[in-house]
Amino acid sequence: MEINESNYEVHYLDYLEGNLADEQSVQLLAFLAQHPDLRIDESPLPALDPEATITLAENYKDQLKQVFFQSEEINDHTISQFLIAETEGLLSVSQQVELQFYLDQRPELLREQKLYTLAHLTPCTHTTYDHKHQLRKNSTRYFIPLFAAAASIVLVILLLPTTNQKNTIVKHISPVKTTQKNEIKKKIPSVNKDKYIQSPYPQQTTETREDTSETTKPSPAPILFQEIQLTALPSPEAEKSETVYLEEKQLKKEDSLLSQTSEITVAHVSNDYPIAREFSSMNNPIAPITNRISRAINREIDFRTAKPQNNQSGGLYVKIGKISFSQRQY
Amino acid sequence: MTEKEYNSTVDAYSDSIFRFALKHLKNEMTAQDVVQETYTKIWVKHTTISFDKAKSYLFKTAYNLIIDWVTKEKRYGDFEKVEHTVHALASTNFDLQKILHQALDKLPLIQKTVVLLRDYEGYSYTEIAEITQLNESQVKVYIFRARKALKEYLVDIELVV
Repeated sequence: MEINESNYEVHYLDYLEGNLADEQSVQLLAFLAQHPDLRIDESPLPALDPEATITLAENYKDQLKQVFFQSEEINDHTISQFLIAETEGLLSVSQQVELQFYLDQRPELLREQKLYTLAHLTPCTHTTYDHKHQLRKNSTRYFIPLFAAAASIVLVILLLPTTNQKNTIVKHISPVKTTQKNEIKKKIPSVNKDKYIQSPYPQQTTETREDTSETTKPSPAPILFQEIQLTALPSPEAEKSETVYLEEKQLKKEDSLLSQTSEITVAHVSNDYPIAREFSSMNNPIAPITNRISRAINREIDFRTAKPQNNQSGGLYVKIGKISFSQRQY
Repeated sequence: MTEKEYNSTVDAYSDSIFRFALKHLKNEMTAQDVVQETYTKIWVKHTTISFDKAKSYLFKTAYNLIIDWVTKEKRYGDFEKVEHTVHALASTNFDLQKILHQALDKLPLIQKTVVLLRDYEGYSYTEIAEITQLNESQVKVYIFRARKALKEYLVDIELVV
């Protein structure tokens, strides 16, 4: 095999270790003569000595032993154990007497005794952990933010401004019965459009929707405001009327009823009449919160919303105790 | 252990745990982390831990966390390799506890732990054995070695005696 720059190291190592044949040694030396820059110092290469690597401490066996102070005779070898045992309070009365007798005979060991006595630590009491409050647990504290959040939501909803200028606020004590639609069909001039519509019937919330079909019973549920539009008002296709109001005579009659009840339903009415969402299709997105508040204050609390879809408008309904509030969004 | 009892352990032992961790780790932030993690682990199991055993459990948890940290950092050296530099301190501003704490920092981890538990917390050998998961004889051996090492650290200080 011809020796070149890529394989000369293999031959060189064998040469340095005396394992290279004579013929190959001649070839290697000739190669190195031609390439003096590749020649290395021919002193013995460093090698690991297995005997030299293991250096054990003199007392390594003692360190492995798991021998504690034993009731041995006090001598120069065991005196340290006795002195330490004394500081640890491990000596019996007889051992203490024996130790003291030994120290009296060897006063030079009193210094050792004092050093062992001093080799005890005292806590740095000025070092304290300053974040204890982060470690403490208080499960009840979570109720306060939860309650505050729920209260804030309700407050915001109650104070929500009516930004839609097209809408007209209409208040009524009770939904207008479908059977009474002929009585409120009369249109009031636009000058009086800001007046309230008031139903002549007191609200009876225990009534069901089916009951409203009877002419003698009033209808429940504030959502029936929708029904005012669908039944009592002219259809938007037939006539683009703005708002239907009650006659003056009826208004006076309803004023007296207004003072007898505290339940008020507020809604917005626009000139258009899309089909509003049914109350039953509205959802309460914060049911756990409202339920919890309801239990806490022992009053009925309801909160429902519905998003506009297709030709149906969205809506908002809030009820706190006997006060209810609803808002339409077109 | 109830929530109230757990909170009482925070007031009673968090300082001790913090000092214990700080002495080992020499890093305030890391020691705080150890305290936080220790109490987090305790809180997770607080319903199954007896209040009587809470302190021991806290130190045991903290010790294991310290071991994990030290194993990761490998920041401990041999006591024998450290030069005895107490002479200058002794001649100027001598403070025995300061010197002892310097010596403590040079001890192997297990010796340091048992001495801290013994001197700082006053634990018995049995309790230290429970915390460090050693047997009682091993604890005593480590304490003896630690005492001897601390004494050797002081041996050249003539002002002490």
